[in-house]
Amino acid sequence: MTIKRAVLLIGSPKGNNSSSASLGSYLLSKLEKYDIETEALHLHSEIRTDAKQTLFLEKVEEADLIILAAPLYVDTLPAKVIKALSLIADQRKKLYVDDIKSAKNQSFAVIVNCGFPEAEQNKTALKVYQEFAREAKLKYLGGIAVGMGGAVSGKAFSEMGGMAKDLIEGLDQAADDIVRNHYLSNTVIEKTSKPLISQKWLYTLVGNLNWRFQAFKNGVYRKINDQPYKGERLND
Amino acid sequence: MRALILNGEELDGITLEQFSKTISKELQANDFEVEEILLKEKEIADCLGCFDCWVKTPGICIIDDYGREAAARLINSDLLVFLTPVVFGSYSYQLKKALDRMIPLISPYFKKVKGEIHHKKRYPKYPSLLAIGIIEETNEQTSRIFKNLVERNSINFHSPHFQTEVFAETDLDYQELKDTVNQFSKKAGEKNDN
Ligand SMILES: Cc1cc2nc3c(=O)[nH]c(=O)nc-3n(C[C@H](O)[C@H](O)[C@H](O)COP(=O)(O)O)c2cc1C
Repeated sequence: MTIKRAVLLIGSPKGNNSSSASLGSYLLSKLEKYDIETEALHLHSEIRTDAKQTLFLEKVEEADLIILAAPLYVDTLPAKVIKALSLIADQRKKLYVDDIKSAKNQSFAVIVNCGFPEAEQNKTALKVYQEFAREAKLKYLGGIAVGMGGAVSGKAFSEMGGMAKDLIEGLDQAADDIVRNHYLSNTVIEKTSKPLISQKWLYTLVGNLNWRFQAFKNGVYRKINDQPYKGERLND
Repeated sequence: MRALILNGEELDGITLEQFSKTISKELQANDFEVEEILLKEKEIADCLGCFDCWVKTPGICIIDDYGREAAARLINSDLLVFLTPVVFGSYSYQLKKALDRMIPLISPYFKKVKGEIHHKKRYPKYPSLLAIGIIEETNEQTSRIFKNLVERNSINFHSPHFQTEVFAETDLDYQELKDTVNQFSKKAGEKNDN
């Protein structure tokens, strides 16, 4: 199968300001160089109503390749992504039962990014995505796991300088594998999972300072450790 | 002692009522005051990913809906039950919409746990976690993913104890479920200072 049309599903509620959008759009722009038609869809607005869901499923069905870019939420997929993937899987299962000939071959690749610096923290989510692909009868091309997503958030890679060098090389290679409908090569996995900052103490230091700074700006510096629900007696 | 059951039954999926009743009864027999939230009946919007719950209204989500109430109930319980259909090895949408709204309960500050970065506690005490996953047919693969996920959650949610069981709808064994709840209640009831 040659890939002619790719759809990028962005699974972050932060829209274009998200790391998911940055990572996904970069990959999509690389695919466009191979004359692949592309479209990006924001899941948070695309599946809001029944009518929108139908339209969404049609757009997904037109694609030969589905790329999902999403953050890690509580060690797995964000709620909205679970909902969207369930819709896709149900639709695919139905197609296979109703009319197996009309069910087309589609491939699936995923980019997960998490807040913590270790890309390995995305491991469980990647297994969930692989299981989704199996149940939805999509060819799984593999998953890219990125740590410290906050460093990418909404930025173009050109703004990130040398820090993003490995990540960019990895994504370039990913585009190369994907156009050939091949499973992502080991170099992709290695390069994209390298920590953007290798010292954990530095991450902790800068990260903690950043929270303090933001709370200070919002005038709640002294409240940052508040326990608003402590000892609350709750009755219906 | 208080127990909270988060029932993640889907809108158009199988009913988990029988499971939740069984769990509830067993918890009560172990001296727990039990409360259940049937999430599909509650208005809980999806997390917006803004982190305002850490840096603007610390400890409280900016969305004013049942998500806040659910978080308050969760942190004031000693034992938390996730009851959910297993979806691709993970949680149902209904359960997850609530879980994504629980990050106000932890601190933004980082700390290392076994070499990995995680967040510090906001509250002195967190509930123990019992996760009960329901699948259509026995499936080793998805059960393993599910167990893995709960273990990861127990780190991020600072659960003093945790346990995960997956039951297949087809060969349901309520006795096994009862035993699981019974044993876990005893463990969660013990004093601990994790
Ligand atoms: C509700 C919620 C839960 C999160 N859970 C995790 C987590 O379990 N592990 C982690 O490393 N990061 C976690 N994060 C951090 C996000 O994955 C991180 O900020 C990511 O870069 C966001 O990507 P986006 O900009 O594409 O939305 C969580 C963030 C939110 C809002």
